[in-house]
Amino acid sequence: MSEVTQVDAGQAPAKSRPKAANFSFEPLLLPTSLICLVALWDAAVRYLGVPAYIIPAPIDVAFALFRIFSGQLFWTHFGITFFETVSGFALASAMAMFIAILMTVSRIAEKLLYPYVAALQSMPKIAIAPLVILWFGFGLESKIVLAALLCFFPMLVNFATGLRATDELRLRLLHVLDASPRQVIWLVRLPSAMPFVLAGVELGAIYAMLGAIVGEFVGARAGIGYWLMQMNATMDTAGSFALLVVLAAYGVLVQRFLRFARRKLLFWYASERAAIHRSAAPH
Amino acid sequence: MVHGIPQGAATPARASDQNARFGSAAQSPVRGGRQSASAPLISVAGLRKEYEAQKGESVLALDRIDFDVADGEFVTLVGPSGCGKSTLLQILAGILPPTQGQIALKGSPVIGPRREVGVVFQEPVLLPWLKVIDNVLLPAVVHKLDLAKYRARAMELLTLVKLQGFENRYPFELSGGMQQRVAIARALLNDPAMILMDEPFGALDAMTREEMNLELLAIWARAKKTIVLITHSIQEAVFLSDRVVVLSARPGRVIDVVDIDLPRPRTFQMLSAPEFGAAANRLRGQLMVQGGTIE
Repeated sequence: MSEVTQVDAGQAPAKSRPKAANFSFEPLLLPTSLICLVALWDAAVRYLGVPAYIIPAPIDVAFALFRIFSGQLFWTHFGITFFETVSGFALASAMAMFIAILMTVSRIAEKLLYPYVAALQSMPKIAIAPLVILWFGFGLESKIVLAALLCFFPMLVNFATGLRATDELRLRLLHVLDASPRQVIWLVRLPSAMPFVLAGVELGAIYAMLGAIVGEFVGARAGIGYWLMQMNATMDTAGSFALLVVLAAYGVLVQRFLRFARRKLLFWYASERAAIHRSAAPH
Repeated sequence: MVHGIPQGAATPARASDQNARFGSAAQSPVRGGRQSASAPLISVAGLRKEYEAQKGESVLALDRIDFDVADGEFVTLVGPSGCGKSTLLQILAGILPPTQGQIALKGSPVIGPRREVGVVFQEPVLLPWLKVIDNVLLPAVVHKLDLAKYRARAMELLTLVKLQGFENRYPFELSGGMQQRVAIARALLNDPAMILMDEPFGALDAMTREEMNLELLAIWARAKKTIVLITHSIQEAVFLSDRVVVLSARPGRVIDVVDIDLPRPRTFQMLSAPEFGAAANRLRGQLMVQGGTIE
């Protein structure tokens, strides 16, 4: 126990691990497993004689990727889906933050809104997709609405939980200083909620793209989801796989970016948790 | 110079004598001998606090609390745990309304948080995302004061609490004792007339705690502030204070007010002085008596 305390007693953030003096396999783990997986995939497709329109060989997917990226079409479709995703996300995050703050500040707002939030959250939002297309048409709007709808609830729940989880002592400090309710939100509640906010944003970024693509499945004239449906219809399975690889890459990139943001914004959080740990530990 | 420190049998008699006096004349609170001449900085009269518990039952936390604190005085409130010390401090800070009774600060009633009062909690309660200097400046930010001007003052205060050079560090880079000194600097920023401290060093280890006590006395001497400190350590109370107000177990009542006539500046050598022992014994006697016979 005391050794652990010693290790994070300094300013060492959670990331640093005691360095082993000898060679470590850890950084090689992921590339090796990836190569093995692709080899296995290739062997299975080849020796089991799976037709290319069911599961294409890795090399076909690579060619499809090259084909996709060399044409102008990709950027048009991706640009549209990306725009829908970002617009829906921006709309939903602003709304979620506004309502979360409202529910924190006002008891009545909380009592009034919470039952709806709980009910709507457990509803499968994808089921509304056809209705949304009916209401907002085949253009960008319906996709933006769907993207917003899908990412709104996970963000709202995270934001509201974070705003409410503020340490009682910090609130008392602001009370002693006679701070206004607005100051309590801006100076203490929001920064305290940042770990929750970022967790919500991470979920939201993924769900927003999901909403946009589902919307494009149901009815659209362009976008990654529309393109995927087209490829499916023309039995271009390698192309579909290539698009899925692109979507996975998008997910990884978003996560990378948010992890970076977390490191920059929440530099204080890991140490705080360590401190709580330390004070709770028996001596 | 020590006066009126009878021990053993004399102590409970005195306590009950005082209780009788509180009952008959609530408007004339007991004062420490030396300070009674000047008008008090803060005066607490007939204070009572009841909590609403479940099922409409109410719990009496504090009852018939009377005491005065003179300008520049260092007063300690001691009592067993659960005697409502922290409740009393919150009432003094103006963030909890009393059920009955008055508190007057500089002659005007305390009905809400006041800028003339700085508060230091049991924990530092620093905002971990702010640098040390910005934590000290927090009261100025809340009160929308001229930050450029207060930044200079904050730097002076950091020097006062011996943290010069740490202004751009983050709280997690500081030890517990240093963090609490930042909290003291923050409480001093508004130039308050009085500082309330709720067991400020309770979370620190014994060695750091003693060091911080000495440090606090130095800060008190340099800043020339009135300090009201809550503790359950008898030794800390005697070592720091001009006067000790002894509270009984729940419901908290003032059972004794003890003048500490040790010279200033205080040193650790005084811990073994006979006056120190006598005062500590008297406090111990009071706290034991109320534990045994009252309630």
